[in-house]
Amino acid sequence: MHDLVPANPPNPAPPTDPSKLRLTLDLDPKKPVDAATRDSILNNIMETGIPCQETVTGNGPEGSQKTQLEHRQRGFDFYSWLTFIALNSPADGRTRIDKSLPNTKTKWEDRANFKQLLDVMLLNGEEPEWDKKSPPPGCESEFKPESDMGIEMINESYDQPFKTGPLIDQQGNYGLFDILMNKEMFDYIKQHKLYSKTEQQGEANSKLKVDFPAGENFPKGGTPGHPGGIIIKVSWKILDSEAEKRKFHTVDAVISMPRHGPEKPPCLRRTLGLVGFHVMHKTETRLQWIWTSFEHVDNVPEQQEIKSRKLKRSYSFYNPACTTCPVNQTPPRPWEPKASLGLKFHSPFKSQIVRRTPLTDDTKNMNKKFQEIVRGTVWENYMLLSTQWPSDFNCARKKASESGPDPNTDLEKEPDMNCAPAPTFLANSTLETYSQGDSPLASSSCMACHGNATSYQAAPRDAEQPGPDGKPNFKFFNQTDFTFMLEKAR
Amino acid sequence: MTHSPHPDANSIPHGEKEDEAVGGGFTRRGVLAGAAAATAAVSIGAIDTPASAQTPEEMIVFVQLSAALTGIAADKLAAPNFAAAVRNSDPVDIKRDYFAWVNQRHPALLRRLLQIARDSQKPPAADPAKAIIDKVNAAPDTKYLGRSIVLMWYLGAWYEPNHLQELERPNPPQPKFKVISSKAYTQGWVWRVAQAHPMGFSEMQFGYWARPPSLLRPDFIGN
Amino acid sequence: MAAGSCIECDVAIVGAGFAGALVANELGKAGKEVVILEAGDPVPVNINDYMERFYKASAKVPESPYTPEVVDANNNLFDPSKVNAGRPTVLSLLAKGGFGDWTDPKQSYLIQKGPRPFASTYDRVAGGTQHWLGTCLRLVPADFKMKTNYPFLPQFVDWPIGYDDLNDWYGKAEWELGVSADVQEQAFLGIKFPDTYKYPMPKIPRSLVDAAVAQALRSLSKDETAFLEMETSPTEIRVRNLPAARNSQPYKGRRACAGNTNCIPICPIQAKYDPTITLNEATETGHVRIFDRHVANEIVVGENGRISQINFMRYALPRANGCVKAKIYVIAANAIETPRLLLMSKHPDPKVNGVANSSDMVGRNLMDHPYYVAWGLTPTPVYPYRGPLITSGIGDLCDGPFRNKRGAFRVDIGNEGWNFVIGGDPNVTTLDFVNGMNATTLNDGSPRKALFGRELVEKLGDVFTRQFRIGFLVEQTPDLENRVTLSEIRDGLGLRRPEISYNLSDYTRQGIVAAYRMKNLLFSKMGVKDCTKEVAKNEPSRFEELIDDKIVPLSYGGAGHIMGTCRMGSKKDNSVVNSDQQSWDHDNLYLLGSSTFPTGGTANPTLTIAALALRAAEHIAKRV
Repeated sequence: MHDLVPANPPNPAPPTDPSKLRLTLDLDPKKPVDAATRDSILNNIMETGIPCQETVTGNGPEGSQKTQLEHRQRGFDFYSWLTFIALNSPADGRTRIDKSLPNTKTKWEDRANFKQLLDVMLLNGEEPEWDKKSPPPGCESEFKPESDMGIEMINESYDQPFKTGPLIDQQGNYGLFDILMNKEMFDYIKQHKLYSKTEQQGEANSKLKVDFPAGENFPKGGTPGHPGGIIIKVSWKILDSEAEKRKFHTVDAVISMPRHGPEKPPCLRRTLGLVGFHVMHKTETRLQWIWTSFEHVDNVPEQQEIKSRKLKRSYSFYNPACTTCPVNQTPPRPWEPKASLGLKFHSPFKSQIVRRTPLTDDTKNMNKKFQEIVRGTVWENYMLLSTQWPSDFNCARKKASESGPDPNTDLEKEPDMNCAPAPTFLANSTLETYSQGDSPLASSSCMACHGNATSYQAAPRDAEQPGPDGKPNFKFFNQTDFTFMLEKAR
Repeated sequence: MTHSPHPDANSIPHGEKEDEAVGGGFTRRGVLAGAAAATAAVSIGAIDTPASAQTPEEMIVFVQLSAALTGIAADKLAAPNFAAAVRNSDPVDIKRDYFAWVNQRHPALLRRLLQIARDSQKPPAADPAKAIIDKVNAAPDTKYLGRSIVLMWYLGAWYEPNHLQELERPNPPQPKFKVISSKAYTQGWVWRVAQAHPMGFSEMQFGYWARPPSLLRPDFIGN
Repeated sequence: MAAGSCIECDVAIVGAGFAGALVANELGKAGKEVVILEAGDPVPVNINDYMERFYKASAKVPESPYTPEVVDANNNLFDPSKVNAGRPTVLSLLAKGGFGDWTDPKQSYLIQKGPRPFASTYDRVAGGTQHWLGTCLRLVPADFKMKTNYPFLPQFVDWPIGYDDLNDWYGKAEWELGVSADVQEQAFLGIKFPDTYKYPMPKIPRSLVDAAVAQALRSLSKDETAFLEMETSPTEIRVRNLPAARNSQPYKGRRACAGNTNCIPICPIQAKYDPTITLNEATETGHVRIFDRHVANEIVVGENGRISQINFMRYALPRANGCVKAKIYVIAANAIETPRLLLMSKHPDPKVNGVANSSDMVGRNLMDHPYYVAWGLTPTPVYPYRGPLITSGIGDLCDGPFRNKRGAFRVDIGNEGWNFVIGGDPNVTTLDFVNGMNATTLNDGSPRKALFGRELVEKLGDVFTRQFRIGFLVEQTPDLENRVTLSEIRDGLGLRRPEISYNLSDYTRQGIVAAYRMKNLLFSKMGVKDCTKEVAKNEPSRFEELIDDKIVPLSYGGAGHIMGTCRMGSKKDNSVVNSDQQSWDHDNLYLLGSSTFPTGGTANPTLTIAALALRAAEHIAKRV
């Protein structure tokens, strides 16, 4: 049954009493999570929503053997789980997540809170409206705006970044990918007309330093806290069987196949299951953003699990019975889905994927605790992989020397504009499937890769002339503050 | 929408600044503080080397020795904050790889170098770095291992001490070295001394080369 | 593969490099069935292994990331007679008698007969010579008509086409590869563009090194520049941005440059175009198949002089021999491997040596751009080791009346300090000052300095920020005796290896002399302290010239630009292919790549290769 209650207005008034924000969770693996803890955490999230800003410390309890880095990592992992629960809580704002159904619409699926990238980067650089959602091309009669997720298949919907390859599940279906942004991101893009490639290239934007809003718990002047920029990237699995639908968070989707020529492409209706979930969140103290990634627990095995033969009966993207299947290989080409086959791959090939970097024990423990907290719902089938965050604190909150609008992120730091990402590498087995590893730059690291993101902005005409200090006028070019969204402007 | 997440029993009241600002430059007091912290059994984390494993105190002294020999601030060698290095805030943690590398090849000689570093910091040493350098230079074996260690920090590559000695003689052979690891190559200090970055590993953004680099001190190598 | 059955397709291509990939993609998009035989390893799933190999290499030579591996675990060169699909490396261009002896077939894949070493290398892997820098220059109009323009030079011939024939194709190639440049800055020496033409992306910002050079050449006296023998002696020499297939913006799903300063040998973020991108697009059409580790070893000529099949040896397991049959055959294996294959194959006329060789020009006229380098220290920091390897150059000196007497040169402004020129900086300079050595000539005090601590930092910081190097690509004449033939010495598959005879004509050497003078002018204007090391007497690339009454030792390197060995022409008696790149001898055989260039000019050949490949693809598609 669908939960059709309209979403609450977003942004409830934040609490002003800091003591109300204190949460504790005993991470002792031997102790179960008690009801009081569960209630305190889940009620708190219901009341205050996502963390607007992280607060972590390098200190641990007396006698702890762990390092500062590990303490902070745990703090970020905790923040990630709060973020995950807040975003995936029922959109009505009144139901707690531990009472949700598999197909209960989440906060991020509610178009009052987040908007899909293709609904912002419209054809011909048309100006987008926050409230408007067009049905995917070819799905005009099929699409039900209140209950359906609409997906238009462009290359990035099935081919991983930089055309590294599609993901084919064990039933032969394509994995699907989508990107969404929150209102603060949308407002900034709209204000500067960055949704249009022509406008990006125009004179007006040649001096714009793209600098998205940053979240703060307690901004100056007593104004309410706000989350700043949040971007979500998700991966979906097409669910064929009823049994599967009970283990995943699901959504009803209408999908329009890739366009070829002027005719309308076919429209397909499918039930999708969430298998991967990235969140990027920019805060005042982490101007290089905080990077979180979650996966469904049945996606793939870890290398260690294969060695010790501690495998599950089945995985979405791995066949335990096949010991000779080559691992982490891309499918045979062509990769583009054929309209006549729907979303089934053209050959019997199935992706055989293994996670190359295991989760840390701390993260696994954190996962167990939170999975207990949401026990009884599909959300217990999700786990955090890790959180990547800029660990050089002074670098991470450094502002630019010239005055400018907040947050005024510094783009002149050298030699490391990513401010020492911790951990160094991070990859989601469904979203960065083929670039897992620990080879510098070649292997997946959220920040190392996103740090390279640029837009179509042109350098101003006087860029090469020396400024008043005798140095060339450049302070920045077309860096986009860690997001690849702007390059999708059409 | 605000939150302050604190997973452990000791929660910190909201609004307190993160403690990254603790410490700073390295001082004698820092050594003592480091030693005290060591005895408080706050570890640096798992250690890989099987034989003669390093202690936290040895790691601190290794960084001090390396700082004196390389001329790079100890803070930076143990990036991003040395005072915190005792309890480790460094996601890359190349110092551990380097210690293990030298320890595997020259454990006894390494320990003599560490002792030199300790001795050079006892009062009334006015300039511990100079004292370390002078003592290291005083004997050929410590001198060449000292040079190997400097080249390791600068280039991420290992030049065997005997080989360095060989290269100083007339009609030397071609220099031979081994890149320690891809990670070590990306952590080479020579590139920062050049106010640049390792070729093939830029952590900077488009167009940075059109303007002059940040200052050598403190941005690249510390004070 | 069953005996007697060949792979069948419309078009068979040998070589998955720039030309092969572009042709395959165009034909695949047109629905033609294409097979590519590639001697080397396939396109990898990701570049993790390439990067690991590169980071771990002691000698970060252009070949270092790619397979086959250049050196073994002990840093010795692999014996090419044991390698299935070997290729040259710069490590085997060293003096006789030692490591990398250029004349030793156990170390050098090319059997070099001299008298001088051929100094350029290539990759043999899907993607071709992807260690290229990325430079995408058009040839200047005069380059196409060297015989007409400079009739007193007997070696020169005209191309059977001119700049105007290629203008549109250059544009298509620039959009295919993704070239960043500004049109206004690139119209010099007669280069022109269609009225509304724009490059796909704006130019890459220039470096501080470029700015220093530009400043120094801003006001010159005519006396100072008289030696160039231009039409009029310039009083300013312009430094121009270098057009390159390097993204300055997102392009076709690829990232913009982040200044990894590593274009050669490999861009860690693929901001530089390489042919694996086009190979992936080609296979995506569903009509192109790539057979990697398949070495074409014989072109079989059948009735009417038409090619009937190409035989190959497959060394991917299980090993097998096989063949491919097509309507049209394209050889795009680079200017050494293409003539090698032609010479290994039998022409129906027993008097003719090799397929397509009735003119006897196959393998002849081997050209490079001999590369002259010099280096020094600038008076104030220019901050090298930042940005792409090269962002600007000087092209305005590439044509003029001097070309009656000497080769032209183009100037490369290096952003990578002394990395390239001193054999692996910063290691060499650092070793000098840590270990009291003097490989760089900078540590020339007595005693030599061996530094620790702050002194070391100060010294290295001072030196590295002022390292400067300049390079000159010099025009080489096509000479009949510079050629590729077949050796009796074999590779790991038992196939005869390429034998190279190579020399520099006086015309070319005088071009290097002019470059030397230009270097002196530039260094004096910049205040650069010349630290170019004197060429060792046993250096195989050393030669001496009399310059202003002094004997000056000079040397050259290879630019990686291998050209000329299957040249195109308007007559079949002195060229191998016609202006459509079609063999005169065999109606269904095409040769692509820089082997068809009759002259080399001074521009890096890749853009011209791409333009010719796209043009040939259109022609071929009509015939299939």
